[in-house]
Amino acid sequence: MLEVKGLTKRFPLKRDFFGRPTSWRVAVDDVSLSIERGQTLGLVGESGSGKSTLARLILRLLPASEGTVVFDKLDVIRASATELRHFRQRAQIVFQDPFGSLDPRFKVEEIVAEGMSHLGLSGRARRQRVSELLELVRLPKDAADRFPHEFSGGQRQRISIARALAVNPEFIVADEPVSALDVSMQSQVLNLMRELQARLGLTYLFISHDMAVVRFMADRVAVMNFGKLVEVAPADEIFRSPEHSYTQSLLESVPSLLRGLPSKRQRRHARASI
Amino acid sequence: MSAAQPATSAAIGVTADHLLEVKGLTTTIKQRRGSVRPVDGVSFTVGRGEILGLVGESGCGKSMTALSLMRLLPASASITGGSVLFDGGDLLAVSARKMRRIRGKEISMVFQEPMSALDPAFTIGYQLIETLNAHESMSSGEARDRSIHMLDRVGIGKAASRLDDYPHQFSGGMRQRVMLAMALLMEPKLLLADEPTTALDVTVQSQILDLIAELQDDMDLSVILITHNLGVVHEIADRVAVMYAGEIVEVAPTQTMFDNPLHPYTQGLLLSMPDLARRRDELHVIEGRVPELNALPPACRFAPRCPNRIPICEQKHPLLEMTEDQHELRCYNSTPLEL
Repeated sequence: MLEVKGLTKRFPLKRDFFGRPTSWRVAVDDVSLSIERGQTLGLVGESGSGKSTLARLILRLLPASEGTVVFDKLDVIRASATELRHFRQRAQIVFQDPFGSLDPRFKVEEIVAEGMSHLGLSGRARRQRVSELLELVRLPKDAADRFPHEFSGGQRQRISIARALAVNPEFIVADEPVSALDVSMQSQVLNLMRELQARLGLTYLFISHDMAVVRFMADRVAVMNFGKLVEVAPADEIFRSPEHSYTQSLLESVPSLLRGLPSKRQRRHARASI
Repeated sequence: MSAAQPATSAAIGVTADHLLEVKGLTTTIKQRRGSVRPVDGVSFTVGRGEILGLVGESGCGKSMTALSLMRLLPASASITGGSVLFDGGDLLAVSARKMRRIRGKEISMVFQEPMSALDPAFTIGYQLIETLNAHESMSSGEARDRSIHMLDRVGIGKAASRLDDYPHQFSGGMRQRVMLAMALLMEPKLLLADEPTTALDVTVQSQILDLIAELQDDMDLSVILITHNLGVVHEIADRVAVMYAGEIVEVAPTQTMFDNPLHPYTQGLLLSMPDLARRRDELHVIEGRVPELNALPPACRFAPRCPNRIPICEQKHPLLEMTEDQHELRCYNSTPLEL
């Protein structure tokens, strides 16, 4: 479904007198990966590792410095404007911040329907489609006529998902979609994403710094550190026997509660009493 | 209302060893229409050298509780009930001047975002020394030495040479270490840590928790660790208090809380967390959402979302009561959880 090869992004740091870059920061460094249709690739790493930049390169929201992105035979990096428009219906993105990514001046109906303008639907058909989408993400029927601020963080994230689904995409990039949410809201959104995937056959690139969340979502996991992929493997393998030392340290940093281990406190006390 | 419930203080089991004893603390915010109580009859204790985890989701009142203890409330909010006994004296009764001296010296606080608590225009050395001078008169050499010593203690390498660095020259984790150094300079008895690791990367988060536990041991410090993250409290807290909609709904020693949570809300929170052990088919969901403070359910505040709801839950406000040794619960119909 998606095949990324040698993808690289360099940002110029300094320029000489003629405006030519003299030094670079390599945000994404020679990354290759692939995602099968209907599967979820979890992309993990800490802040500044290049996860979000990689996602933006894949969707061509940022121009790549080098490398190729092939989405279902389409060369995304070299696609024409028309091809790109078509690609952007098939590939959507959901952001972390459910507060910043929804325009507060628009009603939910307008927000969700925004991407559907090219379909040339009548007002009635459009309304019908929006109400189907809201039902799909389990928002109340009257949500369409309300404004984003009337909703909780979890509900707003479901509005973002409904908006992404409005154009019937096949591929969704979710960039830290539950990081800003409380635990009880987080589980609602994660369950919904898994359910939608099963129902609509969606393919996900799921970006998160939270290993436990990725454990729930991903079929395969890619670990990123300083712009490079250090390990890519099926989720069961990564969590059972991580190979790269960086992956190991990420897993060891997960709170012991989620690993079924005694707490730091207990381990301290056990050490002290020896 | 619960604010005036003396029943809860009996349940706490007052012993001499508490550094902090909060009873029926109530904070009111005036709004255009009526007023709301983000902290409503909150009672708990913190022992000497104890780490108490105060957990709850956004809007439950945990940060407001901390600000109330410190008497650092925004102008729209005021404390309208209860008492805060700290080391024998009532913090709510002391003068503003005395309170200023207590803050920083006896009780100090670290916040989630260290960048916003450090002044970007001054070196960290200046800010540390300023803190010292605010409380004690000492020579500049001595102030410098103490600052270096403290930075060293929170794990900042080459401390002497970093005194002249500005906050932006430190990484997020290092800034949180600087914040801890500043908070602990005067060797306070109580540290309020409000989401101290939330903005940090996982590997750094784990190091900061180690550091807090280590400092707590070394300095015999009491800590209130405020967080939404159950994984964090489990890691270093001795006891845990769970807050929901302005009230404490359950208090227990950490291990008891995680092995045998009794409140359906605590149980729901624990079940909703994904874990690393295996890939689950579905996560547990707490239905509905947290109530608005101006539209609280009439009796139990969790009742509308509760799977264990029975008629009395919607008729009579439940009290926080001791159920067994050191385990307090605000619930009429608790059933054990099969974990």
